[in-house]
Amino acid sequence: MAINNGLKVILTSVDWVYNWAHSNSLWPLTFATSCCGIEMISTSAASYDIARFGSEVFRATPRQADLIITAGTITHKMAPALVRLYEQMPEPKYVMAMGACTITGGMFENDSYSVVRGVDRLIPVDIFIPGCPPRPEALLDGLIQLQKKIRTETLADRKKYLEVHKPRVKLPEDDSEILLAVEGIEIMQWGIQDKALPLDNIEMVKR
Amino acid sequence: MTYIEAQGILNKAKELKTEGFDLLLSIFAQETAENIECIYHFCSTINNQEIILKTKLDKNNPRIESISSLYKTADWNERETFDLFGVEFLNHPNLKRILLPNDWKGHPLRKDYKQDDERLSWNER
Amino acid sequence: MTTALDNREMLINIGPQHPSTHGVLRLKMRLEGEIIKDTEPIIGYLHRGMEKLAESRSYCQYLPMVDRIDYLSSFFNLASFCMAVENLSEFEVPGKAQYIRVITMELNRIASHLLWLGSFLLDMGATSPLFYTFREREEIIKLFEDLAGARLLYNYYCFGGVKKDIPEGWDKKVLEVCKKLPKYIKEYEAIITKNPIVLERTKCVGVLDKTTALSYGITGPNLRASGVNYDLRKVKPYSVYNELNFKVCTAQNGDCHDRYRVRVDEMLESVKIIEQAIKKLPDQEDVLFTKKIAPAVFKAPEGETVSLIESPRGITACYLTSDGTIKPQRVKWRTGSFSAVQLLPELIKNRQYADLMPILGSLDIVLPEVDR
Ligand code: SF4
Repeated sequence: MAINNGLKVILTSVDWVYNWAHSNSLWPLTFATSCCGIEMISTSAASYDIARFGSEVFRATPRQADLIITAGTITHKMAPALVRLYEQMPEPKYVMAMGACTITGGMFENDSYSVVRGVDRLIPVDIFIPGCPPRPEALLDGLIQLQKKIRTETLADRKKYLEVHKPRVKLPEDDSEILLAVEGIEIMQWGIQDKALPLDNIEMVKR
Repeated sequence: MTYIEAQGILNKAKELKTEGFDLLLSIFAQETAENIECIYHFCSTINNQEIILKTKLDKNNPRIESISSLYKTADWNERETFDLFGVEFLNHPNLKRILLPNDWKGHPLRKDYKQDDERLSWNER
Repeated sequence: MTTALDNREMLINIGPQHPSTHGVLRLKMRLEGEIIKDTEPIIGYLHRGMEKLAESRSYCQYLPMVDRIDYLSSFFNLASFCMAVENLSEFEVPGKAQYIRVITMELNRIASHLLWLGSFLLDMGATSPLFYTFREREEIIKLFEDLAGARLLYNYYCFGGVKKDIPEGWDKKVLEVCKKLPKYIKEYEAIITKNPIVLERTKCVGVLDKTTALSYGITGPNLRASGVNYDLRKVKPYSVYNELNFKVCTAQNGDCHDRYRVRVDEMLESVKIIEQAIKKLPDQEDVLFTKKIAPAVFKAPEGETVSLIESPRGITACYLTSDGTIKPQRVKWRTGSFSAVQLLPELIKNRQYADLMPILGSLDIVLPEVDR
């Protein structure tokens, strides 16, 4: 027990130092697909200055980045590229979904034939930033929330974390360009109301 | 807006080019109840005129001569029309999908298009 | 693209995620050493099906989506779609709304060109101009925010006019910004125009001659840089451009430097247009739209129409077919960038690989406009 406790104390202080260093220098990947990307660039430019939060180093290659801000609509044609980029990033890696498009598909969610309804169907998302487009302040807020989240992590949970952080769709093996679903992973489906609410639930609401 | 026969499009385009219509703004298709219409919008920067040509194509088997030998921009415009409407352009140098993935099924801007590709089941609403 | 490779040749792939392709463009290239032999642009990574979505939405529901076709110049798309609907329903836009439209469009043109300028220089390796251009762009964006409440996508026009009156004192603020802008632009010119590195990298690079440009359907500043004096604001004046006094900026050589010059001149010209328009802005008149329309039941009469607009990236055309119901039957967008991407392989053929970025940057491509 004593050894275990001692280990915990050591781990906690290592965690603290590690998380402190890590959360204050998140390097994002330049992944600006559409309108939200412009707001992301505005955030990094002079008047909003993302450098105040240690994330001004926009990296062009996924291998040097530890945060991917998916700023903009993702389509079926783009989805394999996004999954590949995510796979290429080194651990630990975080995902921020910026804008309505990347959360649910946004204004294209209803009936577009080519838009992915939310990047959380492709890769696991840590922070969602709503808005169409979100203001730069919202992006900064999302960044602060992510930093908070990182500070509460511990190295001991790393394995669990890695298990969760697996892409949910697979890249096709032949040269087809459309992603395939991974069996056994359920993807949340929005807006389906085939099951009516159980009656007692409704009563509870009434009370 | 002028209607012309589908067979005459190449000759008509040649004629227009010699008349000074040097800018082809766009080619696109639209679906009506009976036909697929292929529409050409020409512009002249010299004498400031515009002309829109319309051709009617068979809905089940839309085919028309390509004019990409005359106007280079027709190349991509025709590919786009092929991609979204399935209009086949004869003698086109490189007729393949441009906006959608290569292995996409169907032509989405048709009125009767329904997405029933199994591979996309993970993206259902 | 031919697949057989020579011994000395190699295939490289750029994109779809690449910082310098202004979005999600992918280029497949065949290189021989440093020389680009062949290029195949692959587009469609942002194809959201805007044209199909119009068919399942009513006119007013489609209006905010129009913004997203080109987010850097969303007023132009709005104007184009509104004009198409106005053509069909024969709405007459009142004078004040016309002037507000012109002012906002020209401000938007400046903002768009500023962003282009920053990213063009960023492509060539100069990082700091981006921050300067964003400083000015931010001022214009603040004006738009006062006006429409949004920073990027405004949804400010409605069929037959504009949605709201300008806030009090807004015109004064615009004039202030207009006074500052030429000074700022001179500042850039001092560091950029005569800069030997910029000159080396842009002069005589990517020369585009008249006939090639026209046959590829290039419009806008790219065409005017090749010496064709074709500006829709002059040759087919829409809105109130015929009452305003401005000149069309052209250049003769058609290289990257000329395209840069034309855009910078256009910004200065736009400032003049805005100043005139503010002077002519009617004071008292309160009418901002022809007719109050009910969004849910608004029907455009049956017919087909096209509206052409000179946007910062060339001619934006909206082809609208209506069958008399509340939903459009077909909407087609013609945009300037689509042809510009097609031109790219022609321009960079047999040039050094290092020339790719100045040429691609100078064409001013915005990808959602290409893919729609
Ligand atoms: S959320 Fe809105 S602003 Fe952002 S990419 Fe989607 S449509 Fe554009």
